[in-house]
Amino acid sequence: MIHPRRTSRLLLTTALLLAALALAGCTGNVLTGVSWPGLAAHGTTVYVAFNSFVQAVDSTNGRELWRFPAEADRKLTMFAAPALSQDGATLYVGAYDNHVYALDAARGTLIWDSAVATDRIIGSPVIYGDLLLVPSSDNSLYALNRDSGALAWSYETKDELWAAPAVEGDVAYQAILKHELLALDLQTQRPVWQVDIGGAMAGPPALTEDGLFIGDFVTGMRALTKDGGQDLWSHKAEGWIWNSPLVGEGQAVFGDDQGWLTALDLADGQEIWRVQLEGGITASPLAIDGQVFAVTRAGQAYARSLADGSPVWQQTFEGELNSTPILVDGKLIVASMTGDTLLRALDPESGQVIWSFIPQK
Amino acid sequence: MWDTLILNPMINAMLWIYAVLGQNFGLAIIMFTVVIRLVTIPLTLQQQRSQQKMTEMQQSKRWQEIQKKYKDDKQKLQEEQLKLYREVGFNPMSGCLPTVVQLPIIFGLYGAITRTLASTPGQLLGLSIHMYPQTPDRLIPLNSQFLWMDLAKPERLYLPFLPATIGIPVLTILVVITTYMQSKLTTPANPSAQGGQMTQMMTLYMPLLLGYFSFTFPAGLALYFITSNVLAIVQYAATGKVNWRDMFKFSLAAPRK
Repeated sequence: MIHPRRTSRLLLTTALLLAALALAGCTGNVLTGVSWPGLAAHGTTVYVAFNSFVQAVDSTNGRELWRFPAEADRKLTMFAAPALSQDGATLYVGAYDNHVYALDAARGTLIWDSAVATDRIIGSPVIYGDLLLVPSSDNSLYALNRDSGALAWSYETKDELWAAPAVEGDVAYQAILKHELLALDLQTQRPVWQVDIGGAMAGPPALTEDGLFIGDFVTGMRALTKDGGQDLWSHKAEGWIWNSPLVGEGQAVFGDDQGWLTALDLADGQEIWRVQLEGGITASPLAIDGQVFAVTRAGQAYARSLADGSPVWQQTFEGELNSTPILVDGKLIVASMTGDTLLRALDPESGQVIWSFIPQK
Repeated sequence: MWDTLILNPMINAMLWIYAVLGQNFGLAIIMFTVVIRLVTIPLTLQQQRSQQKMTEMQQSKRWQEIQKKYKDDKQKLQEEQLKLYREVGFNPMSGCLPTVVQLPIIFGLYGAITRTLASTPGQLLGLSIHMYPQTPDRLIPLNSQFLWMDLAKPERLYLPFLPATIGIPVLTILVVITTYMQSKLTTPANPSAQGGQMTQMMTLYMPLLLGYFSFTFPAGLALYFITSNVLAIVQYAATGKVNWRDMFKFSLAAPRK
């Protein structure tokens, strides 16, 4: 017979454990730093930053070449798409432990580790000459020496930076999460202009000769002049625009979180076509040979005609597809935020899976 | 179902309160907790009355006699207890019902706060799914600064005379203290040895558990725990039953003679 005192202890321990599990269950996924995989490529190597690792994957067969770090470190998570040096020799990765890591792209070994930021690196780093521009959630844009990781300068903004800067010449166009777009002279570190867009911006602007194009969570897609930030046109979207539009061939194509894929005339913002896809869109679309590729949170990958949005093919996969796809070695690489399969290489013509990459636990 | 009936209305209510209170997330958490507490006052009162009645009954001579007389015959003991319940008109389930009704509200409140504390793209994407079209998108991103803290991150207070690496977890300390006070002051002494021990262990373990959560998770949660604890104490004090001396009693509660 169990003693009543022991029974009560057992009951209490069970109740506390259940309470802890319930609280952790309600909180864990919500409060831990989560985002979707970030992709980059050079030659036939795909680099993916997701959760505890950056992994290099051979695009010819989907095999892992290396991973960094070798063993998972609970404090270290990485989601931003890595930046690659022009020669493809160095990979720069921003992490949620506030550090920036420079890795040997061939072997995945650490070259340097910079700890100048005081909050998460959510946006991708961008190369600017000998410097690496790093947007941080601590309201700063950092410029690091690419060889050593030493801080060259930093520029403080009004709010968090989740988007990579878009650099043209000596000007960085930086979306600030809380509604402002900044044009920063990188030589003098002085603002050229700064405008209130009216909505949160999580992705960088797309640049053309004629202007810059950026989407936000409130006002939709808009075009501005590069020299003064004046409005050229705007187009109200159905939902939040999370990423930069695909610009080219006279069009700006973008997705929103309500699943609308929209093509606008770059000149005046007039709608050319619009189709609703299954699941919200957070990734930028990708264009190849007259086709536009888009992925959705519902695990759908689409190929549509760039001219009129008519369907070419559609594939359904397990897991949320939130990352902007990339073209590597003639294959369309899509990354999944959930599910076992992290990467899939698709035939752009048919959407058929060429290989899948399931990371080892 | 859960999202539609509980979570989504609470998240959107939270966002509206945030908008009305000048986009101050700390005040929004406090106000939202107050509102929920006010709405659930009838349930809390019913629960307290039931708890009190149960305690009084367990302190009665008749109850003690039954315990003594049938201590070796559990079935008979239960029968006699039920008989006594009927005689004094006490429904043992009357204390459970308010708890059962309140639980989804408490979990909803908790879920609403954790979701609105979104500080990464994944979390913000999760929040967007719960937002009604009428809730203004311009509120995003939420301003999570409140006093010296960022409510979206675990709180530490860094003082100039301390080394830069040492931060004092002020909210965690307050959570531990208020949780202890709340359970000590609002839980009636349980006269049975088993029940008394359970109560005492809960009084010790719950502050540690919530303290751990407050230390580890974003400060907004700790603010919610503190507000909720203080309100529970105030609510109970309003009934005039608080004995502040109970706070420092550590021994097992024994039947009063």
